[in-house]
Amino acid sequence: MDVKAYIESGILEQYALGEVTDQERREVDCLSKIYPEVITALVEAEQDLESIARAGAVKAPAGMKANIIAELANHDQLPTDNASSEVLNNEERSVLPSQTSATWPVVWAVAASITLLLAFWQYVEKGNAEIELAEVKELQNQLLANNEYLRREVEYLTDDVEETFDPSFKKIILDPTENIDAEQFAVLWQQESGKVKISLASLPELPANKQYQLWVLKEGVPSDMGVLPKDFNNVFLLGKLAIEGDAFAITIEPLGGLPDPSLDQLVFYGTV
Amino acid sequence: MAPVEKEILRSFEEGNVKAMDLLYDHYSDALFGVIIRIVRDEAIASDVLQESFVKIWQNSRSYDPSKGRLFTWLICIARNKSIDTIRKIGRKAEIHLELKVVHKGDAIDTLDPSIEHDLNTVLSSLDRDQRDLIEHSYILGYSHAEIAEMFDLPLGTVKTLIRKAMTALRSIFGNGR
Repeated sequence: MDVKAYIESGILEQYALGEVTDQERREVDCLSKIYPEVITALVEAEQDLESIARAGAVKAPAGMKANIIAELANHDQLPTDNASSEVLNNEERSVLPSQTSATWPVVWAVAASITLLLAFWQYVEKGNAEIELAEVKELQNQLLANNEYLRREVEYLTDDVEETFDPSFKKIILDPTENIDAEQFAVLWQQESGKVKISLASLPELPANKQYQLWVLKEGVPSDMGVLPKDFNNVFLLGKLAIEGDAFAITIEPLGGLPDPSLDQLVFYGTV
Repeated sequence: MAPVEKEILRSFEEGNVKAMDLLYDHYSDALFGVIIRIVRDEAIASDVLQESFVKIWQNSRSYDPSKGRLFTWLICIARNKSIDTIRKIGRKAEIHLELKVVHKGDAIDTLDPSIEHDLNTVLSSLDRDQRDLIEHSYILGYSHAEIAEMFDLPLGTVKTLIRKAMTALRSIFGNGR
């Protein structure tokens, strides 16, 4: 898949504005789990939306605040499950997709394929003469989409395994500091290309408002390698390249990361 | 995450309406700017701002910071409420507004002092075609499909051009955001 072309197509800007179809939204959600470049571009698209809103701020009329606060007394917060399943619609589409374990999309895709096959079989079994061709085609399209997703996922996992044994990838062991109760942690670095991969499975879970951030250091000077996705328990390719460096470090930072590392939040460190 | 956002989220969880007080102080001007440029009428914009705050409060328990940024979530609620409103009442053809634009130093800038641009200055850096696309999409609330029809361009081209224009704008906003 040509990820660059996908990003350049402008779909992520449309997603941030909440203007995508359900199918497009699923596609963006799926691809952003697979390709870190997609997540990075999605965050940029959200920041663009925010920058424009800030630049276009207009003073709300005097007295509005009192009216609004008074009106809120007539409304209650809706319970989470109710709100998420029924009330929220377009605006929910624009937020970043949740990143859960990398294995669940595969499980989901397999389960969905089986369900679709069963549905298809039931149609045929019933011998219903009123089956509409369009419905069958839709089922077929969904099956093909699921197959394509599975194919990509397997390809991606195979790449991970191959790179683990690829001698051009250096394995750098990061030791936990006293700030964290965790095991050692490995980073794979292909110096020639700058690619950095890490397995996120062993990292302790963080509070919702915190995120791990990776740094590459050259003679003690840190460069930002980006934040590590939350709740993503597989091998992750960093969106940024590390062309030179003699050490890697991980800090715990506020969601979204910081331009410079918080040294008192250093949790892993290892030299090349 | 800014300390005020943390406090807002804590108040969301506690069911404390103080969250909305803080939200109003920090985001109402930006949201009012989003709304008024779509509905183009101050009285209607005031109603939409109020409806947006009601919706934000009602759904505040289901906002999950790990899924995306608070401000983006708020903008999308205000934008969608505005678009719903003009679908009901019809879009006004002309803008006759004297907008009291918030200048740097006012409350809106306290969350991110690096944003010091007003919208016109920012957009004036784009060429005419790019400015038209950004204005219609991000500011006036037209969908990509509506823009494609209006400018007689294929939808795919509109999407690509909007991305290119946004990429050009990004260099003005600064990537160090």
